[in-house]
Amino acid sequence: MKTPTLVCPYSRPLLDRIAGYAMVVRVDRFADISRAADEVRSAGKTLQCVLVESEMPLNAIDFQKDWQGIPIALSVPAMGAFREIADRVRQLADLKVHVYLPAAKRENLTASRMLASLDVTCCLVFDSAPPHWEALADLMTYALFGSNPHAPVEPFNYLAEHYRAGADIDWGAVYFDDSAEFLHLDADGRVALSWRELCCGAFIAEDISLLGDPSENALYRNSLNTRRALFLNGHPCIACEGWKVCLGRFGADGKHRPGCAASAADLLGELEHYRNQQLERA
Amino acid sequence: MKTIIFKATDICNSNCIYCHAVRKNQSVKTMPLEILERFFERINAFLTERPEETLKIIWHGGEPLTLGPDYFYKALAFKDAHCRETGPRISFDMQSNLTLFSKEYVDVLQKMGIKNFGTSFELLPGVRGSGGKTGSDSYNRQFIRALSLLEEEGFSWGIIYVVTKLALNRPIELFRTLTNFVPSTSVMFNPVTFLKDKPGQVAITPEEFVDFLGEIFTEWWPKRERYPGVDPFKSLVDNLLGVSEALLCTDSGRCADTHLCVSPDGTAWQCGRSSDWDLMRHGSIVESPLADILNHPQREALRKRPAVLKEGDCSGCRFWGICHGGCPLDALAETGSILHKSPWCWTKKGFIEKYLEPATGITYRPAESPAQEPARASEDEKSLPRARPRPRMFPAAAGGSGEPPWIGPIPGMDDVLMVSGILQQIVEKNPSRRFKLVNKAGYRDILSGHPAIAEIGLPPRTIDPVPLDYGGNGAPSSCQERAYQVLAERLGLETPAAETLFVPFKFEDDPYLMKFIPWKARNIIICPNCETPRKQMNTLIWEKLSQKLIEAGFGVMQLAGMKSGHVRGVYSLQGLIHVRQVISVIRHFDLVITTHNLFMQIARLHKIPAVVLWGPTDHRFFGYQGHHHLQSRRTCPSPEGCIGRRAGHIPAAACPMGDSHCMNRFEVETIYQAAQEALNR
Amino acid sequence: MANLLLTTRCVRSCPYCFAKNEMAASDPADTVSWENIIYLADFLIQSNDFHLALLGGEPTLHPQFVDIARYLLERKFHITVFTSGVMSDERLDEIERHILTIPPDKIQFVCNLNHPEQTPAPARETEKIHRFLTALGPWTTPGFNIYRTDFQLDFIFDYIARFGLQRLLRLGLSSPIARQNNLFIRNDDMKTVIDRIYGFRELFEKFRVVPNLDCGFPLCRFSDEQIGWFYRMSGSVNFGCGPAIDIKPNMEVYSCFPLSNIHKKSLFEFNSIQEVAAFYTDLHEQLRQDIPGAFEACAACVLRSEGRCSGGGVCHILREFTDENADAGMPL
Repeated sequence: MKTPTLVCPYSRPLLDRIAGYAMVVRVDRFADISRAADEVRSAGKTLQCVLVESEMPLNAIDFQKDWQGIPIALSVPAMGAFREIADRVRQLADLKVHVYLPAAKRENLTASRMLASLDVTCCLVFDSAPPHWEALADLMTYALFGSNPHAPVEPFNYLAEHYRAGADIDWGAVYFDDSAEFLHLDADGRVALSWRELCCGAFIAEDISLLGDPSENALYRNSLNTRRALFLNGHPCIACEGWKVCLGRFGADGKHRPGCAASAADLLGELEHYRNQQLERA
Repeated sequence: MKTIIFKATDICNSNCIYCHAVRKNQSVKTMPLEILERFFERINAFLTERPEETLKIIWHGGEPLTLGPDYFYKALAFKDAHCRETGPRISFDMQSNLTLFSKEYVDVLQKMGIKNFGTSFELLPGVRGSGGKTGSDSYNRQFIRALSLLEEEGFSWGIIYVVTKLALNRPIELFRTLTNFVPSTSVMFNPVTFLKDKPGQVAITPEEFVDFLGEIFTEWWPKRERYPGVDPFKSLVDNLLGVSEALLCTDSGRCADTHLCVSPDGTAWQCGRSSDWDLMRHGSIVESPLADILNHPQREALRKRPAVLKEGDCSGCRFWGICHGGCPLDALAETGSILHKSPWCWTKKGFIEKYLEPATGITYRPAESPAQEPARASEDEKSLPRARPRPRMFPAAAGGSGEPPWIGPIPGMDDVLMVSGILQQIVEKNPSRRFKLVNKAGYRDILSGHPAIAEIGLPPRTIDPVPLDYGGNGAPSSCQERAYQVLAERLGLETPAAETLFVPFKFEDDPYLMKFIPWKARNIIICPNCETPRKQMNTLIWEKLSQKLIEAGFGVMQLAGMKSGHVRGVYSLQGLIHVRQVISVIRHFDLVITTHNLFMQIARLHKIPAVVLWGPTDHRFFGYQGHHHLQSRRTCPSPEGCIGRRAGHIPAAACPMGDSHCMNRFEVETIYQAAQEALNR
Repeated sequence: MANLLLTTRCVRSCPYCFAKNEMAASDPADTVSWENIIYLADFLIQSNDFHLALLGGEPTLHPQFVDIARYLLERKFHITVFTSGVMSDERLDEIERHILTIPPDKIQFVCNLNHPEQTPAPARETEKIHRFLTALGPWTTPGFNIYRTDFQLDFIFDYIARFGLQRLLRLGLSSPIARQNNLFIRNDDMKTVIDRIYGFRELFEKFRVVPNLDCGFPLCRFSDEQIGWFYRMSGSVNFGCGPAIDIKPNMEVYSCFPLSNIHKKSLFEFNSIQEVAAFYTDLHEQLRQDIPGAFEACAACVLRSEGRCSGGGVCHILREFTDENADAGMPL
């Protein structure tokens, strides 16, 4: 495992203790975005991103000038009426803000397309509720084959960049949630393999200083087999045509999401088509 | 290249139900080290005799990893010791169930150059495992654990799936699951085969295998780019399309020259299967050099097999070139003779004819005509120059003889009535006095016919017209406290002069206009238009003011140029009429509300009350007594104003203060009150 | 410039309506989706065409009309909205708050006005139009559809002054709709119509209003004096009839409203708006090879053959020379 990037809450004492890792800092308030970025950078550390989650829709957020140059992952429940953001959408595009929207709401699929067409990078967040699969497939087609230049719509852009025929693609990195690349810290410096495990209190080390080489960590090693273990218990996802691009993301929690298989299979087909198109162009 | 299936051990930690190694119970389970050493000596001798030859050794078994890492180190040491010259022409591979793989193997396997493992996986319970029906789960968990370690160490792997009767009813599920399981989709489907006494619960027929493959192929073909490693499909299609000529040992018709198996006691066999089935024993490496083994009489018979079959069992078969009668071991097991075609020949012929050709459109033709795949488809306040050269002025006595002098008004219409009034006074005092006016936009419309103007046009290039400006700060004069007086002095009129305005025409009303205007009892004309954005007040303030006036019962109309913004809610006369009609119509109004512009002058001309809004210019310099002047506070870097005396001419650029510039500081209520006062005065 | 129907619903029922065919078949849910809007925006940008007209029905009936307009403006489009001006106070308020901050050179409204007596409307409707014009006068160009020969225009000049409308009057001839019975100007009445427009010239001049003739006016029905006057007032006179390119909410495309029954295609079949235009231009030309114009004299007309006049509208040709109930055998 290469040196992981640490995803941690904005806490000065915690930040002071971390050295030698690139960082993704989670803040609770918009006012902390530039402060956290300044502190990480002034300490000579690499800031990969600042994460901030808002309960307000995008159109109610006041984008600050001092966010300029800071990679920000802004998670919002919705975009809100476009008219309310129209005057500021250019500003948003100029900032390095990636807007994270829940895919379960159909209007967010539309909002992602609108924002992307206006050069704002968007990222769909798949939660427990299923998205409107058909609309999702349509958005995917736009994201990969839209005739006009537009900002990336994630995870499609990531998938297109990482797709290799026959290979599995884990797109958790889009959400800073791929244990091969990211480890999650709580305010006390305890280390978890994923955000979900952090929330559950499932830590692999009681302190970042005790982590050592993650690949030697037994819990880490076990986590690598979690996905393959599905093949042992006859989980329905393992025979899914879309597995390689989903890896159980939509169904591994056991919840039934009708339509996910066809959608993932479509996605796989589109990625192949995209790759062939790129090859033809090359 | 020769391939040696190297069964250094018969020991296996698994007990798969389809394993039919009848030679399992031999006394020598693991190859002794002396035989191992002899093996490498034989190899070296063989390769030394054949400098062009290469050799692949596939560690097989049993389960090779039961040998332990040390065994492999020893093998490597023997190889290094005995094959110094020929070593580079020897390569290793391994077929393993991987369950015993650990970090201890990594180094030695890497030293042997092994990068890829062939292995097996079974989803169905009770097929693979250490103990009949019970061991599958723990076996598979071990297997999965090993895969992670394998991948971490940089090895790759692929699966050979043995199709048994238990798998026949779920081909697509198995295909998808296996290709999902293997990251590279490297999956090979082989039929389970038995020497004899076929166990009914797992054995399959060639027809069943063809149909199993057929279902998968129908799924695979359109998505073959997604599943690049699936065999036998990929190899077969490549072969049919001429992409590759490589054939499996069973189909090549050349296995007598390419394959060899060595079992733990050093016995040499035709191949791995022959070893398992105890058929086609070809001596021993302990006793014979490899060259002798490869020249064993049975191998000679095997070499003749293609010629026999081509004229016999396989005569006329169009698939000969990719089948060659199939595996001789199968034929031997079934018929007792290798000189027959394999009973599994249908898995090639039947599969291609029944599934591959219909699904792909590819028609297999023998090598002479390879198959074809069907085609697919500011003036920032950079200040205007404040220090201007002292303006040229007419001597009071000038004129009266010779050519009339050229005068050049400043851009815009704000001063035209002043200039006109001054000229009128001059000509009244000296009737012969004339001027030539440089034609500026709008001046001709108003001043043509003026008694003091001899010509309106453009002066010759040699003439420098007298500029009718306010001289900046370069023309101090006792008269320069009023714009009118400055211009009068410039034109040679004795100052202080009476500030009278003049137009050289009679006032006339346009009948259409008078009919359309929705007159009320008292009417106000608003004139937001200005030559410069710096003197303009925001249209929204005009709208609010107008609304208030309308609500108070006034008729409110707007006069301005065509390009001015419309003040919503008021009746717009903007741009509708000729400037002379504009000047005329204003006399019918009760009040003019305006900024500093021509309309302020017109109000003065008609002696109509006016509320004048002042910002960047100063009412004390430009305004008239009798008008109600509202002068805005300036909070900008030009506290004395940015236009006019000691400031400059009308700048085209908007104020850098933006919406907060001085003209937008007026309160609607203030203007409204001023309007009421002006009307009541 | 392509025309996008944001919705096929309309609040009015004008006797001349050349969009009647579309309106009649309208499904209340037939409004354009965001996905199609974004597709169309991309399509037009790819075509290097940054002008788009928003039509209906009544386009402001689209629940997200304001958002759509703002979106297209953010995509650098210049928008023209063809509206009746009849809309809810809520919608008008939205437009005032979110669109009037945009300069008129980026977004314009064309408000089709009916004479209050000749084409009477309920008082409430007129009140709404006045409210619209009061709010959006400076952004609005008046339009007038001529469907009778005794039409009156004077009220428009009053509107222009009262509401500060743009000084340009779009004059459209009501056209026959294939397979429909609507009121329209017949070929025999063209000269009467032209003479009547010319009769209002003093008002045009006095109010400095530019007469803008829409498609289908035949050159031969103008006197030289009239042509001179129109040219002097507007700088160019249109005697043509070409594809307007109307795009329905579902991305169906056709040449223009009067021909909306004929040769519908899907925008998805084309790669650029130029391809669409070429397709329908080609169809027009095919038709004109058989029937050069709407008048008998068109066949021998030099001006028509030189392309200075299209010989009336294709819709008139279909009306005059074909069985409008069957387009079989016709190129269109």
